Amino acid sequence: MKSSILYAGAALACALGLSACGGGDGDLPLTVSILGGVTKEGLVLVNKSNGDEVAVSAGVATVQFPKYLSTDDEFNIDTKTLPSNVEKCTFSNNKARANYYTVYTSAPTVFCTIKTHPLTVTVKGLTDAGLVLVNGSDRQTVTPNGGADVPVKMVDIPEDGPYGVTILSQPGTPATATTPAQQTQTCTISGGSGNMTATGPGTTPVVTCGPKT
Amino acid sequence: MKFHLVRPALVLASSLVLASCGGGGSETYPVKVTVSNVQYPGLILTTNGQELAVPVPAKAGDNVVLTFPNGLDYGTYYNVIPKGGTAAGGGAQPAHQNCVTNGYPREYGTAGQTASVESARTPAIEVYYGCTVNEYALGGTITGLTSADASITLINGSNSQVTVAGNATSTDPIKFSLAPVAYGTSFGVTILTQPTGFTCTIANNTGVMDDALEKLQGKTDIAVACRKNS
Repeated sequence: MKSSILYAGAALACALGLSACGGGDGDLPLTVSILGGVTKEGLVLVNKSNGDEVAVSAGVATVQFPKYLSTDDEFNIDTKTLPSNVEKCTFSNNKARANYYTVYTSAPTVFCTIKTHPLTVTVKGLTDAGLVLVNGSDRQTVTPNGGADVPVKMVDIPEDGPYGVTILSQPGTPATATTPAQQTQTCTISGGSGNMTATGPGTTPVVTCGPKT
Repeated sequence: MKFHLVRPALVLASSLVLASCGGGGSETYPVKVTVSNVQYPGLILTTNGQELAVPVPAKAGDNVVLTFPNGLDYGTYYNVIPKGGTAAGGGAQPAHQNCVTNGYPREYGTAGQTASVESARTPAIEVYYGCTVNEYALGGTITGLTSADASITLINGSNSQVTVAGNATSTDPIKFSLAPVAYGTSFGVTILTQPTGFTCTIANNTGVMDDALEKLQGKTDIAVACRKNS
């Protein structure tokens, strides 16, 4: 009984002493919600006001800084290091003085944007119009250039993400209500599927067109 | 002191007179609806025996803001829903879309119940609906992948990805499904990683989620055929 009172007293004194000198060992946890974009290790957040750091693992929803804050302690969260595939991270509510509202109700959040890289498909031997390439929902119609190679720029791909280019329609006259589609050339694709790396696509997608087979 | 009482009494009396003789009785509550993301025609909203056809906005992405032809008297119950449907969708919807209430402000209530940002003089009942384009299934079957240790990764471009393990005890085709695809959107499913010890080919794997596929509720006959490497 006696020792527990002493202990509490000591803790109180300790807390008062710390908060008085801005040491910040209070009872307000500083958490950050991760809204997205963290797909690999490497993100470290720092509270620039007290130097406290926390690492963010891929896929976690929230992280908490080790040090607790006292009411009115300033916090200012920023990134110390970024994962290799992240372009930048955007915060909200990351700079404030700690109180119930700023740490619980409108707690800081961060969203990271993954780097993207261009994906270009080289089309060879195309003489006729009508070739359409797709990478899932991304659809590109290819305009022939008299048989010369045509570079087809697809929508940029996130780093470490996959891509899979396929041929949606072959060159020829598109189908109408009265006439069926008249295919005039046959194109095939090689190296259409792979992963986007930091240095570009993991494969070289090439579409080769020739006489209709 | 006496005069203080006279004035409110007069105001009260005059307002009672006005209300009883219907003076200013044109003071009805218009029912205003705001619908977001309408991409196809067909949406009809109803309330209090009135119908309101919601067209596609002139500029894609704009909200459609309309008011029902007749306003409602104070205290009249209203419930703005798609014709034949509910606030959660169904009924007379735009083609290839489903529109639901945004939840707040409520699509039902009594006229004059809530204040409005419109104006203090002519308070409008405001109802909000939001539309999404319908999505349909994307998938198929894998045959010949007869080892539980082997798995294949299939992707729909950069949109979605699935990894499926083989089955050593049954030769039934193994079903797979990728994330649903919105109406009017293209898809192209390819093999990202071949299973160890097998070579697989894919057929019937590219298209657009069009009317024909909408009728079938999606594209579910993509065929992946695997053979054990010799």
